[in-house]
Amino acid sequence: MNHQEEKKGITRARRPRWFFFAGICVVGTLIGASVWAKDATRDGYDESFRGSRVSWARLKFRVGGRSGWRAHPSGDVNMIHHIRNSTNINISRNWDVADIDDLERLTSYPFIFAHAQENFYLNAKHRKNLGEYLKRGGFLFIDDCVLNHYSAPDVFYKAMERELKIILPDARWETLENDHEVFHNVFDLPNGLPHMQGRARPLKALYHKKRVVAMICSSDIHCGWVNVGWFPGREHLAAKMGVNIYVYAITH
Amino acid sequence: MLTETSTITENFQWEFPGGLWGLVAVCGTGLLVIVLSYCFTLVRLPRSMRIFLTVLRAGVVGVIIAALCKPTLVRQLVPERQTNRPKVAVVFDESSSMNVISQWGHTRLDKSIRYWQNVLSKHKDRFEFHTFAFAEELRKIGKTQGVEGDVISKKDLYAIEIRQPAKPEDQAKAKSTHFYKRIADWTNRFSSQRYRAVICLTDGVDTSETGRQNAIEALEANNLPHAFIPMTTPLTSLPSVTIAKLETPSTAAVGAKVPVDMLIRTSGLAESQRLKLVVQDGQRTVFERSLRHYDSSTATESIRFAVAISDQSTHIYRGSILSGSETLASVTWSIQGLRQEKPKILLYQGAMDWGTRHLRSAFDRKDRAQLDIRFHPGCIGYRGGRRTRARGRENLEEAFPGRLQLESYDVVILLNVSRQQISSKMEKDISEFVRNGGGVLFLNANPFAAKEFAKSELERLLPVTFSQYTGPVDPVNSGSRWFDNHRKNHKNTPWLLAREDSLVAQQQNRNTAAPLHSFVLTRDGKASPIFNFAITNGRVNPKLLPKYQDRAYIAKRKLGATVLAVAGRRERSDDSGILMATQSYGNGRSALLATDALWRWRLSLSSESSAFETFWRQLVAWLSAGHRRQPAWILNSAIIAADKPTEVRFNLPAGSGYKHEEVEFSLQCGVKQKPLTMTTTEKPGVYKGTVTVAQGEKLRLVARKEGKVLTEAYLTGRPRLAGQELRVLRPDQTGLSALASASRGVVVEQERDFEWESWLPESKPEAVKLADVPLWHRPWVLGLLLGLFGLELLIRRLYRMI
Repeated sequence: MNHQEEKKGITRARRPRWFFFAGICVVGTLIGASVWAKDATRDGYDESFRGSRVSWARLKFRVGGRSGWRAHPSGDVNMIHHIRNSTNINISRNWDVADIDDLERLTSYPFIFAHAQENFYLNAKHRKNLGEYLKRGGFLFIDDCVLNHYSAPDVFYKAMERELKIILPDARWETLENDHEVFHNVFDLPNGLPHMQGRARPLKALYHKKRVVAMICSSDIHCGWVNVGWFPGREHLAAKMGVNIYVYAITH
Repeated sequence: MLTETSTITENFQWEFPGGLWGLVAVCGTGLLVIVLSYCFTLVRLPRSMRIFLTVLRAGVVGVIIAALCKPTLVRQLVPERQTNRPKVAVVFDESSSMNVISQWGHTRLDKSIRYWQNVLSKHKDRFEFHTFAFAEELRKIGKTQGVEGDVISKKDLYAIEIRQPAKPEDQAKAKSTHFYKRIADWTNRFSSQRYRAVICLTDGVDTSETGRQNAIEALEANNLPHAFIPMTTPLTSLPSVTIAKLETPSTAAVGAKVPVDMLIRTSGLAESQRLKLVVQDGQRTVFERSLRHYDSSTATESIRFAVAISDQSTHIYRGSILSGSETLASVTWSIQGLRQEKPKILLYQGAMDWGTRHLRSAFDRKDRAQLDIRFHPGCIGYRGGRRTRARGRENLEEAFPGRLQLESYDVVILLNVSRQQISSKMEKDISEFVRNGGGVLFLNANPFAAKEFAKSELERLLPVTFSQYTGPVDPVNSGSRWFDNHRKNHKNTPWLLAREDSLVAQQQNRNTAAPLHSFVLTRDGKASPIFNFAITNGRVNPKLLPKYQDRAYIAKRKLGATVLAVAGRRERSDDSGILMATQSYGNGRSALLATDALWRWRLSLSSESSAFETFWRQLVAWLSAGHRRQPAWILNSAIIAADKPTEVRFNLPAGSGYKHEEVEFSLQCGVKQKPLTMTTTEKPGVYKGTVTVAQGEKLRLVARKEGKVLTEAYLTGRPRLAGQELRVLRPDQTGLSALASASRGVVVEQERDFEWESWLPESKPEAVKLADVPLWHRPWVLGLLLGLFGLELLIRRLYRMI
């Protein structure tokens, strides 16, 4: 307090601490609100660059193993994010489930992801539904899962390969070489399919009447999508491969 | 305009972001900050001064907030309830069918005049009547009621009194009825002249070749109630069979099945008389069918059949209506087979879409078209390390073909293209391409993208204008949102597994896919060849109708555009609900599909169904129809009005290899042949000439080069309508009911009493906005603000706060 202030009877009050906290809270709230408002308006802006809405779905079917058909859905959510971020496909952020029992629900999704580790059994209805879905133009991406190491690494891969041949007898499996478009359409993957774990086999495509209706791999790239540090340095390759497969399916 | 019966009202209006609650929140927050700042100010002040300063600061903030509220005084002119009588047009039908004398010795016109004198004119205190008459044209008759006399007599009308059977001199002075055409005209005219209603005294007979549809659409559009008073005096119709209309394209692709629409009128036939329609291509019968007729009454039968175009020559068809071995009526027409060229389609995409996969199946994989798929560079975001939009903006024209290259395509499909992805040069090129005969389809279900095209160059060639409405944004479920938000923070912990289990439990039994909605076809949609796959026995098969998931919002259709499909009532929002519309633009065609590419419809159809593929093929065929390379006659109808000059057109595309100077045009009637002069039109490559055909005569139009026939076409002269008028005499009460219902009006039977007094509801005065007077940008507001602020500064300076 200086002399003149003392003379006029003006004294400085003690600065209360809680006042600063209140001020910080107010400023923080204002900044937060403006960021939120900006985010809300940005959604609409981004949407004008996207096409018709589509959802990602995981195939629900009867299969053995610890997690069955539903291992790590967080990997799928990450994949959805990668697709949204790398392309302008209007894929919903929602993770959905397509039940093989319900053809109507299957046909709500143009791309279905099947992921499991063990052997499985499809009854006549399941086979009919899956066959009809693929004939109508649906796309199935199959990835062999490795959750534990006490079963053979590609049981599911082999079972699915066999089942699809039964479902679509006039379709043919073809191995995709490293110069195939699927390894170069969005991200350039000169070494072909990235391998995470399990048995390393090349990526295969199922052709039915000049159209690729399914792709299968046994490299467990889905575990790379989960992104928890299981495969350091390779997880981004798994994400890139996923985007490439999705874009190939949408454009062919 | 100010009148004595109008009053001016002033309403106070204001607006603030968030409305009243937003205002309360801002005022509350402002006051709280001011109070807190003066409560805990570091300078010790007397309590009274603190309160005064608080009030001053609150005053300044209050004035600022009040200015932000944009207070406005809206001045409106509200007319008093109208005391004048409503203007009503009374329209008399004076065509020849109204002038035929019945067995009781009077005509329908006599009854009309009697109804006017005995019933309508007694309500002149309630209505202000204006009288008109129509047959082929509409004209005003009599004087305005209540001003100069109120007598309408036969002298005012075209009263000729014809006895049956009509003599040749009666036929010569007979007038036909262009009833539907006149309704469409007068509805617009009377609406603009502020008539409140129309009363029409008619027998409902129309002997022109105009359909009822135009009249119904005009009535629906104008909201002008019509009261129809049917004049139903029975008259005997004479035996008559005519082919009133024949509509078919004059050219068609080889291999196509061409629809032919024929309208046959019969009247006054004996019940035992059997009729048969036989259509022959040369000596070969291509269609045969028995015709219905109901004893002596008038019947109109519309017949649709298809003829197959097997080769590139001109096919000459003859349709005859036979009764035993006698030919009662016949017509000749021709269809020129055009080389079936596989359409070349450019599918240009602004955003990737599952439609691509399914359009490939519809065209490419089945070898039905050449499909060139191109993507805007911004479709893929991180290629080259740059963001989507940045990359897209720099290279707008990178993937889109240039002007000359564009000409090699028949159809351009713009799929999910946004405004920022199209340069003005691209828009001009597309516009020029369509003007020269190409087809363009704007396909976009994204309301955010569609609204940006409002008032753009591209919108000018499309059949609609876009709405600014964007609809709600999709919600994201909580489970997926959590993983999306915590993507970078995952650790392989039991917490993650528990979250994953929770997401599976949440989603596995829920069907969260967006629902599919079905197209609703308009009348034009049902008649369009694009949707003929969904029409079975004249009825729409709802199972075959296209279904969509997403749609953009359309403000309205443009004048001259045809709306083929709309959304169901439940799916409509703040827009017109238009899903599909088409229009001709220059020599080409443009279409809008405000939905997704219908890929989910394809997935919902059985794998055996070809409805999706058929829809797309037919849409592309329609769009590419203007992009022909063969010369051909363009005829609207194979039957034209007799003894009247009629325009015929000839299309000589630039790519045909022929020049206009090299081609000789002639017309042949029997053995007589004379040259035909064809002059240029406003459309490049299209030439026009004028021909006149006598009643029942057949005319052959020929285009030759060095004596070799390039193409030919046939025309038939229609029997004079005036003669037809004296044959078709049965009143059309069904038609009148349809027209009354379209106008929200009534059909009033002569014999029954009708409450004319209470017919029209009282009109409600409509307020007219005169001016908005802003109240906040006034000098005294600024003065007050500066004054308060200055006073506060002074006091703060006095206490050494600043």
